[in-house]
Amino acid sequence: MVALNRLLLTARDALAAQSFGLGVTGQNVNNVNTAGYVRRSADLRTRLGGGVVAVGVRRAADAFLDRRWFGASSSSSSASERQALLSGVEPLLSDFGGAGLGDAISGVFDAFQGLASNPSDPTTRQVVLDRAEHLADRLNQAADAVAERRQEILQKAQASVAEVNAEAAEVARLNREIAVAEARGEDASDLIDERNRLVLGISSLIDVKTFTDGQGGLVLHAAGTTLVEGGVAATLSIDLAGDGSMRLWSESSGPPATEVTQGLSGGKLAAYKEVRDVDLVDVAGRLDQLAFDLGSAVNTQHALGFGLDGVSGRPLFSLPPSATGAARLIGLDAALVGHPERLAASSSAVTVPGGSDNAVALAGLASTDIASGGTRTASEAWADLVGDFGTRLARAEATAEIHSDVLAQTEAMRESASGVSLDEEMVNLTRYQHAYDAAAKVLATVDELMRELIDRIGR
Amino acid sequence: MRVTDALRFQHVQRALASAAREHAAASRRASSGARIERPSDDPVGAAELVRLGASRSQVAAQRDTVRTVSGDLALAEATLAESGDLLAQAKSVALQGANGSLSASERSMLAEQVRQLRGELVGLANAKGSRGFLFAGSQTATRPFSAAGAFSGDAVDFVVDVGGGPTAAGANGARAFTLAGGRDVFADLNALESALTANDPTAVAATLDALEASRAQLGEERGRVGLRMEKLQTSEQLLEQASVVLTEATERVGAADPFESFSRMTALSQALERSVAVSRQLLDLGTLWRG
Repeated sequence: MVALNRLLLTARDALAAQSFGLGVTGQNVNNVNTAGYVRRSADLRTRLGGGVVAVGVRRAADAFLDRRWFGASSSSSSASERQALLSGVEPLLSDFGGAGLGDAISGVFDAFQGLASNPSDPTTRQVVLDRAEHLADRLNQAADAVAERRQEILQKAQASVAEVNAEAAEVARLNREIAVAEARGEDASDLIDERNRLVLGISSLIDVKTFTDGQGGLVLHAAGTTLVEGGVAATLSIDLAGDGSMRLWSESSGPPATEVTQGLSGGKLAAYKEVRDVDLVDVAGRLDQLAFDLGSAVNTQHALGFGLDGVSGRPLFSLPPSATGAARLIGLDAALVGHPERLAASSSAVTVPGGSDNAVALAGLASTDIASGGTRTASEAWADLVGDFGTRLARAEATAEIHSDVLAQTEAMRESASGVSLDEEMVNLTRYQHAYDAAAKVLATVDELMRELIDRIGR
Repeated sequence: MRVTDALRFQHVQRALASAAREHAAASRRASSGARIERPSDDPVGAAELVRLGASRSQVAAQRDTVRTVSGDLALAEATLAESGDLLAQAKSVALQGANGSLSASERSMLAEQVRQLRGELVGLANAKGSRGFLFAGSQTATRPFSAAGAFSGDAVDFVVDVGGGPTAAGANGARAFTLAGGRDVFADLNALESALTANDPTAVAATLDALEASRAQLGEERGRVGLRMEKLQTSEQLLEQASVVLTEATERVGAADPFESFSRMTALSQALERSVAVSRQLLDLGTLWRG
């Protein structure tokens, strides 16, 4: 009788354990499409006396793969964001449709050529002014567009930092909850999955390194500083340096904040920093230099000539005193606006109105090395800028593709280790179902034996 | 390696996205005919296209200049030829007037002819082209010769640059009609008229050499204009060749080979279809669940 009772209890335990296994399998199936979900398995152990007990759930997690996943996510996110941002700027430099800056530069020199062939014609003179104004407008638009992109990127960076702060605070909260759950011996798998999902989100915004502290809590490093440690999260912020470049600050447990800009190496924030403060600063600087070089050369030559009114010394363009901001500030000189007769086509007051030699000299600037320190023509300097930007973007695209492949590979490895296979779960389901059926059969058999025993004793 | 459902879906997604991306790029290239649509397609080629565009624009502007200036030069050349004819007529009149048998009234009639010839020559010397008076030097807005033949223009040559540096591209009225060229054509005509009016056959005969020199002066300037026209024609031919070369270079750098583009697009269409078919099969896996 004692043996039958033990068998009865064993069957009961088996039913409970297999039922637990079925539950875990169901949980896996339910989360087959849940991002960041780590496959679980029921941890069944033999109980003294031959029974079975479900002692908990095992997560098929690999901390090493997780760390690689976060790192690959940071790198890929940074590279793809940089590529996307540069692609957004590229139309400004695409000069193949006939409406680009290169055509505007050529247009001015072509107009000077026209002026040289008919220096006294009012229409030809007006064309020169129109083309010069168009060139100035195109430079202004290009410079404004670059400045707007830089401002947009700053706003994106601020939004990203706010997101990092919110998610870091969530990670800190989960660290606390996981510690409590584990101390109570409760299953913290869902909390750990949620924390990993948050860390992955943070890793797309900023470079992330994770490791565990002495108590098993997750420590999060970002931009070379500790972002989360235990239940405490630092706060990041952004401001602008004196030269307008973006700075990243970290503040943990109150002021003072520490600048961590130099540590920024991944995630969208790194892309924002590089595109805004390196790529676009370079484009803006070269646009400024081109505008200044071209405007200065034209002004110098124009000032040597005489207008139909016999006056010389006038510039064609208004320019700032240095290259800084020249593309944004260049314009048609106020004295020339509405006064085509003031264009200086003649090199002498006595050869007005038919003298064309100064117009010839102005047209000749098209083939003169007036840009890039006197080494390139204006059109060549523009072509250099277009080519260099194209190279920069092509490299960014290649880098983004490489990092995307690395991320896909890492995700595949992680998915292979931690993901849910419905086929496997189907097998598990069948396995637990059969075990459950068998345990139920044992129970029925013991029940039958006991009934028979009681019946016999009762007779 | 464990293959999970998510892995299978990710693989399908990436393969389809990659095939669709390449197909879209090939379709765009085949339909637009452009190999370079943005600088990052081929940075070196893009920079080259910009430089070629600037050169083509400059050549086109120089060809426009050649066309404009050539018209004026042709007009000047024809005007100088006509002027030379007038002087030949004047010389013929002078030959008649030098004949001692002519009466005073006949010489007076010849003087009237010379006045008419001078008037016609003044008209020719004040001919206008596309940029003003042809023979006024830089004073293109002012009538260069008065009715009496007094010159108010200057000897400045009109210059343009059509590729080889600044070059004179107009007729020089001062050198053609005034002492700047050695003879004052109108003064010589005036001398003839005065001699005829004075009924002085000796004085009339004395103008013959001067008239011939004036005619030769006009001929010389006409010859210079002809040379300038030839030079411009040569420039135009060179510019035309440059334009062809630049257009071909632009095509070579920037245009997609239509046959290559089309065959690539066809190949990628087939690859995309295969990718879709394979993806369908992959997605159909999972037989255990379907029983």
